[in-house]
Amino acid sequence: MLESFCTWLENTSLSAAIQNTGWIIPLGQIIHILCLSIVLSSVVLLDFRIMGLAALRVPIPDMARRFLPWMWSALALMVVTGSILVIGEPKRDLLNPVFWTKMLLLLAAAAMTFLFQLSIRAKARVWTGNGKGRTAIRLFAAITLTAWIGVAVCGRLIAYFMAG
Amino acid sequence: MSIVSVAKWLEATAPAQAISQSAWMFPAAETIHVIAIALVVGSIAVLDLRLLGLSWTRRPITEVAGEVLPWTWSSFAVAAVAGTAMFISGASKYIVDLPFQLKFVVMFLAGINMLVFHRFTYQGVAHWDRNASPPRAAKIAAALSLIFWIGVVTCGRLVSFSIENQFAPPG
Repeated sequence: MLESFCTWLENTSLSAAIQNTGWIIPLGQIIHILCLSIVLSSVVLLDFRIMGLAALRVPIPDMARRFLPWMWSALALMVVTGSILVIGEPKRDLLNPVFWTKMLLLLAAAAMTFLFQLSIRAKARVWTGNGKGRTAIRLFAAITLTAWIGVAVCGRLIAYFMAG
Repeated sequence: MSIVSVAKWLEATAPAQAISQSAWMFPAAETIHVIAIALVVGSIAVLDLRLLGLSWTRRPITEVAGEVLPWTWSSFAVAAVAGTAMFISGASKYIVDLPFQLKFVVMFLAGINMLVFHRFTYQGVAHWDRNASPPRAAKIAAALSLIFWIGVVTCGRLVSFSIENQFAPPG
């Protein structure tokens, strides 16, 4: 089923245009990696702050306001460039277990980050404080960050687990 | 002795052989390299954007620098170690590769830009630490830094398109 979908997608004119224009895939990958640097750096700085390990002078709501809008914008651009890469080479990704692992981790990481954002926004006063937060929250930040790192790891390893 | 023969000697050393013959060492080094360079570029961009007066303008520049530069330097060290591991596994291919050579030229320019900024412009930071919009010299250094690091990433990504690596299919 998935395989025939890939074959169909591969033969669409959009996919053909991506395949036949040599610079689109390299350019898409370059933009994808540059956006990854924004996403990863943002979540590393924010989650380390929540864990009480970095930028302790900056209140957590300030960190969230500084980094999350950049993070979501860069992530949106990654979805666009990533989609172009998938449409250009559907079988490389859609028939690849590492790609689907990446997508699951991405959903989890984005959902957890969104929960942090909602909570920080709703209870800014609780989140403002110079000390370290509760252990459970720090653990949740560590899990969120691990999921984001997992997304990047799977992203790189897709190339090594291609089906065809 | 030519640079290529040095590269050939390097890739015949035991660690280089271990990496090129292992199924997982090169992908592992590459994954670490990508994550580390992402943190280098992302963290330096936070400071560059502050210097350009585009973000976090209420915060003193020295505080922003103090928070992000340790990330930049430690990530750079990790990226350099992982990059060296990748390089030695196929040194003679990389050393003659144009994107690879360009990457080091651009990194050299980024280094010069940083040295000049720290040696001259940044010496006077006390006078404009809290300014939302720092002096023009600082803005130029920040813009160049962003351009050079984007160039480093671009060249780095293009290396794999120009190298036929037995473990790394293009992309």
